[in-house]
Amino acid sequence: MMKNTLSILFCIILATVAGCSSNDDDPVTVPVVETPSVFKMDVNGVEKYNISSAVVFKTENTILIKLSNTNRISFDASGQFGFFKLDLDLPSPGQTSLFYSFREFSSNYFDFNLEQIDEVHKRIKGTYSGYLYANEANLNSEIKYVSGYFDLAYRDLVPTVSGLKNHARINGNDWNRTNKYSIQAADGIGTHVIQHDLSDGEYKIMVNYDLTHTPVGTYNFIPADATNKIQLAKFDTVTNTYINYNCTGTLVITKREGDIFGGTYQFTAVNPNNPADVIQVTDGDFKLVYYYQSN
Amino acid sequence: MKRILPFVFGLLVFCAGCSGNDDDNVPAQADELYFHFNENGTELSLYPQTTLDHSGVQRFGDIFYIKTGFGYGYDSEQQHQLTITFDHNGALISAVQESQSEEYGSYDYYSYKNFPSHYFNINIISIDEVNKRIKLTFSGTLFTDELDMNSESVDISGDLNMDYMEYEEITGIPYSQHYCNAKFNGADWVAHFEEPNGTFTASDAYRVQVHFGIDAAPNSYNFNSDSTENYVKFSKFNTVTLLWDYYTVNGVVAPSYREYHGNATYSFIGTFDFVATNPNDASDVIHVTDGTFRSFQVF
Repeated sequence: MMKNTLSILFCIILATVAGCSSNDDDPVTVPVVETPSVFKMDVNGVEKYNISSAVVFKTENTILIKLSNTNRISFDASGQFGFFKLDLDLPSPGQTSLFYSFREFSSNYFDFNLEQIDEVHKRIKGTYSGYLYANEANLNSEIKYVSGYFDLAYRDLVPTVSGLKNHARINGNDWNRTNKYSIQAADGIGTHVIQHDLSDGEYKIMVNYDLTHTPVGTYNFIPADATNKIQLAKFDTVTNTYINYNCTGTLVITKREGDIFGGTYQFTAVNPNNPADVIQVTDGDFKLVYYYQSN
Repeated sequence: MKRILPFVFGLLVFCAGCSGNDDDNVPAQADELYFHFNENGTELSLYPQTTLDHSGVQRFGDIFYIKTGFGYGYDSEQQHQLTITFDHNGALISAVQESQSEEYGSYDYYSYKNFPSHYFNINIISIDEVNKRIKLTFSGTLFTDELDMNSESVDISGDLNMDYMEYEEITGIPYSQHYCNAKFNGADWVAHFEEPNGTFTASDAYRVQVHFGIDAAPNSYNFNSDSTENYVKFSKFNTVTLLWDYYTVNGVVAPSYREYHGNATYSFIGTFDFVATNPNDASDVIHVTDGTFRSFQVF
């Protein structure tokens, strides 16, 4: 009798305790294991950085790894490379300290692989390797070989001016700017500015505008026009120079506010050395801010 | 058996405690502090992620200020400071975001200046006067040109439940000795801005403009819509045309003192009472009474 009673009680208890256990619907607390951040860089095979303190900012579609005010790597959220700038901070006078990824057709000269972007936990992970140059536009300048990997948390930021971009379709293929530089036009007119917008590919698109005389409006342009036009150039890896195409088309400035310019464009680009090489640039859409470039 | 039963009973009580509803395992979080902010689709927050900096709510009488920053303190390329000013009814007075970047310099974004409460939503859910806590949501667009809704802009929104710091009430126009107060059909109206000189606006659609001639001595002056000196104009912002619709006016303005600041600049101090009638709607009549002002005028 005693044994039976105990058996019954034991079964009741077990059944009740089992009923207390979690089912699939109950919230389960999973301990959060914070992934350690790491940024690793070797320069010419010697470790330069192995740190956890790199800061990373994601501003709209652009991601910037910032090791210091000078040392930075930029790319977009799709993994398209932008630029790499490294200050070796060498103490000896006369030694080259600043090195850059080659500015033109950068993916041909630098391997950058964004393996993962986790927008929920706000982390990025990837690898890189390639040569950096003392002159970002000269493949014959002094070089350093860098390689490394990163697994870092990022912070979201908002830009000072939103929606800055240059996007187009080149013969139907998407093209997006991930790097840029701005110069005064060669015609010597101080207000004529050319913004060179670069992807990591072989093409760059140049926005020609006049700081004081480009109001909102439609500009039909031909190659001979001095300004208010768009140009296409293709980097030739044999000569290491650009082929500047003759471009004829339409630029529509839809926004002009202070130093902010925005608009759309489409044009036909013809290789001056090969008239059969014709490129259609469509769906052009850009927004830029004129800025003073000290170098 | 007797020794077993207390154990079994205790275990059953424990297990009974295991059952129950889902809320039993969740700590009470009825009034958790939070501040979520969104700008052009980018989400930032104060709790638990501290992607907002220098955040706080201040109260000066019936006026509240939400202040927050983002991009500060982390060696970022852009820094932003946002201040939203509103009254205890949730009417926006002004919002400004000061943005700074290394590459492009400064860009400041403002709420639309005319009838600002119409163009920016603030929904006050609760104000806990005892614990000094405010819960609200907000949304709106800020522009680089406060008078041009086609200018460069940012869309912001947020919701917060935060403690506020309480300070002494500010009377008149902030950071100014000037003021313009009146009753519109018996309801209090307080100007928040004098811009330009002698032109007073608040969070609502109305505008009062005070003007005197260079030789206006302390006196009572009758005025109407045709007056060219020593008058008060009254207008209402038209959200369709984005222009000010003037009312016909008839009343008295009485400067009691004018203070000379040098360089042909004066502050006029006085009172006014008048009747304003919408010229397009005779039933739209506003009795403006108990008007008091201190306003700038440069000759």
